[in-house]
Amino acid sequence: MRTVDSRREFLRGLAVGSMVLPAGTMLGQEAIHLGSRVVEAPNVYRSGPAVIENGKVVQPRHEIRVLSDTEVLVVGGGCAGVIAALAAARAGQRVTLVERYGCFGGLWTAGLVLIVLATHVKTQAGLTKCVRGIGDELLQRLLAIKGGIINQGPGMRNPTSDPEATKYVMAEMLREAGVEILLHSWAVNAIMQSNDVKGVVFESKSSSYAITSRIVVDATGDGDVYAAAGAEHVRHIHRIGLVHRLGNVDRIDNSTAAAGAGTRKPGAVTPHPSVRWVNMQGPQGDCLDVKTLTQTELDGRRAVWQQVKALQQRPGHEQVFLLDTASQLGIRASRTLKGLVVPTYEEAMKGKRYRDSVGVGGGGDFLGERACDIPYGALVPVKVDNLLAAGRCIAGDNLMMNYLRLIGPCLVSGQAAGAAAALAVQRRRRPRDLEVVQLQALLKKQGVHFG
Amino acid sequence: MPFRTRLGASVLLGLVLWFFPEVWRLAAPALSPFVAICSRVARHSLAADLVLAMPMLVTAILYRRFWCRHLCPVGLLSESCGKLRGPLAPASGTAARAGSSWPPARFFALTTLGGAVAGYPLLLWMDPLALFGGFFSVARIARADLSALSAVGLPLVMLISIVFPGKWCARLCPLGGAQDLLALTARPRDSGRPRLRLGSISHPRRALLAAGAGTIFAAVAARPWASRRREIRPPGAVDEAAFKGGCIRCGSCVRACPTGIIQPAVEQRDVTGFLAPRLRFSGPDYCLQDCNLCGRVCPTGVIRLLPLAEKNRHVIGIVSINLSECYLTLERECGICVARCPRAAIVDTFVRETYQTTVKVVREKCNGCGACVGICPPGVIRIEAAERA
Repeated sequence: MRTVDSRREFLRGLAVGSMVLPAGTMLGQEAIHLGSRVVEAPNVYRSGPAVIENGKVVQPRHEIRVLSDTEVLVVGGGCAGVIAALAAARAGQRVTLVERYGCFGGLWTAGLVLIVLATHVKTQAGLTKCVRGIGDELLQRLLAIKGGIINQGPGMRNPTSDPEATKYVMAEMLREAGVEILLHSWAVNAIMQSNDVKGVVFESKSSSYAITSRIVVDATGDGDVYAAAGAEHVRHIHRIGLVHRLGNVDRIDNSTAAAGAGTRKPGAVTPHPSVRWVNMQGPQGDCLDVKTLTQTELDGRRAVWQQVKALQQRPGHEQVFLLDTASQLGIRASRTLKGLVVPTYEEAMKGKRYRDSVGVGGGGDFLGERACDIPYGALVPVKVDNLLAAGRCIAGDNLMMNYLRLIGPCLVSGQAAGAAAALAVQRRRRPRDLEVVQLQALLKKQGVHFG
Repeated sequence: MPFRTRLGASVLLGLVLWFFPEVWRLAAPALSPFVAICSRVARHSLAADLVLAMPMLVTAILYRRFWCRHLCPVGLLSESCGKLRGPLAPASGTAARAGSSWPPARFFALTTLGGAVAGYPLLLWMDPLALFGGFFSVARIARADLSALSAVGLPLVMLISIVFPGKWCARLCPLGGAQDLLALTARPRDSGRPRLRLGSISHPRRALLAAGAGTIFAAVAARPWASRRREIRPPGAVDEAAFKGGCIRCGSCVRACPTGIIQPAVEQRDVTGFLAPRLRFSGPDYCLQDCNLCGRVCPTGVIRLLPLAEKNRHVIGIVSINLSECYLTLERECGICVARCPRAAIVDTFVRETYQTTVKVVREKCNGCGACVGICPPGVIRIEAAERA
């Protein structure tokens, strides 16, 4: 029992305690019906209901349960997050990966953006593979699966994968590497101690929980964690799409189609001859606005149905059907970090080599056939510490953002963030104080190509 | 004038023009009355900066070939080349025999002036300052084709001078001819005292003939032979005919342009527009929003010196996008032109009926700077010359 200095402090302590305790409690043992039996259920943590105070809805102050403590916490299980988790785990760190949906791959799989762009550059000597390391290992493993990937292998680039195969391979690789996985958890807040990120709060069916961590990798795509942590960033309005896939495309009978018109198959190739995937350049919108997201989702799906209906009415296309629409809306850009380094288009066009390069991405449509250096500084926030960005939301100017958001560069920045996080834990340093040479050595060991 | 002093003057002129290109705008008309008069006559505008030409004009009248004797860098080079084949005969030195007969130089000068009256000063590019400047633009010429011709003037003069020592300055250089004519108006051959007597040109009929021939040729060449095709000229360019006529092809805008998009025109069959600067957009290069250097260095004023805000409003060309080949139409990832445009003149446009986004040009905002041209992955954006009055 703690000695109390004064009556006033004792009373203050009572007041605080009474505020905290009732709001967040274990509700104790609950009965749960399992078929015809009633069994004891595990504890369900509840933070207590929100209340109305002076006409405003207020969530009472409450303690958040810490689910686990880890060395590297990767938020977001898209391609960048998965590769980041793998890179950190393989470097020997304890890693937790949290994903808001039930599968890995993010926009690549749930978003049905199936083409892996910007992986190679074409030179006079032929194709040079830029995206190597764990990203390439993933593509190679997809190649080993029947119907896993197409246009992958020597002499080919920009492969298209099967979303289910990709989800499966990603999960397998994560489990092999011993990454602790948490699905169905939505990151809602950063845990801060002065300028340092100490972990992330998630919302889930098990109510809110926190994971504390030495280093956090923000691979949310939207930069949700760094925004919550107060890191400076840039907002973007970009086109939102809803990708869909068509089935029975191999049954299109072009002999009955009108001559000249309509002989081009809709959409783009997938590993399955009967399936095509169709990209969408939808309306521009603020991807951080839930009403915009809702409207775009509803309108997009209706538009897809109308397009498919129109397609089915074309002669020879009667058998084509809508296989699926993406379960995740196609967000192209929402936030980009204000990083220590902000790669610009002009620099890229001049073929700038960054001293702190963490690898190169392949050629991009508007950048031509030049391998693009991704600087480590693009992953590191200007002010906030113990936090690294990976994937779409890293730093880049208005133009480079359109390159860095492609899967190829995301695989590179993901691996860099994971390796850097591991190194920061090992060396007990802030990410901004890492020796770039050591990071580059680790990445080289992990197979990353530096051009 | 001692050789060393002349060398110093030439080197100084070269250095100043190279490192302070904006001096060129004032230096060329101030030093060459030939350029100043013919270029402005061709544009039918007697701009205030003609005043600049006055000191040299008066000097040329009072002191025959002052420029040639003391300042001309091309003359110095020509003379030095001539000396390669041994010491010059006294009679063949610079301008030594000038005035004793009617050398082609005077025809060139008068023909050019005559042409200028019809809008096209035929041989203005032969001005030594233009030749001198043009030579240095070779470093900025992007393509190995006829555009390199804009730099061959000076080497050609040197070659002529090696083969026929002293002939360039005395008999061919139109600025020399112009100076002779100016000197003659004031000082007939046999009189020692300078005084202005306009009627004293030795062969008035020849003079008239030369000028007339120039006018007629220019009228013939500049009108029907002129290509119908309009080129995209540097920002602030005067109208097409005046531009082609008034430009002396000195290459200073080619040198000045920080993005290297100003290049001499060679692909057209237009005689009058040959080697005149036009814009070529390639790669990421475009006409920058914070730059009006070409206007600041142009010695003839055919690229007007516009304040930045006005220059950015000046429509260089009209942009057109072939939407059927646009990546967005093909549902490919792009929209780069929208992100690139420094004037926010290209916007994403969502079409609800087709549920597709396409790009659209906002005409009021676009000045045709070309930022979107080289960056477009399928290359479907073009800039076409603007119709200007």
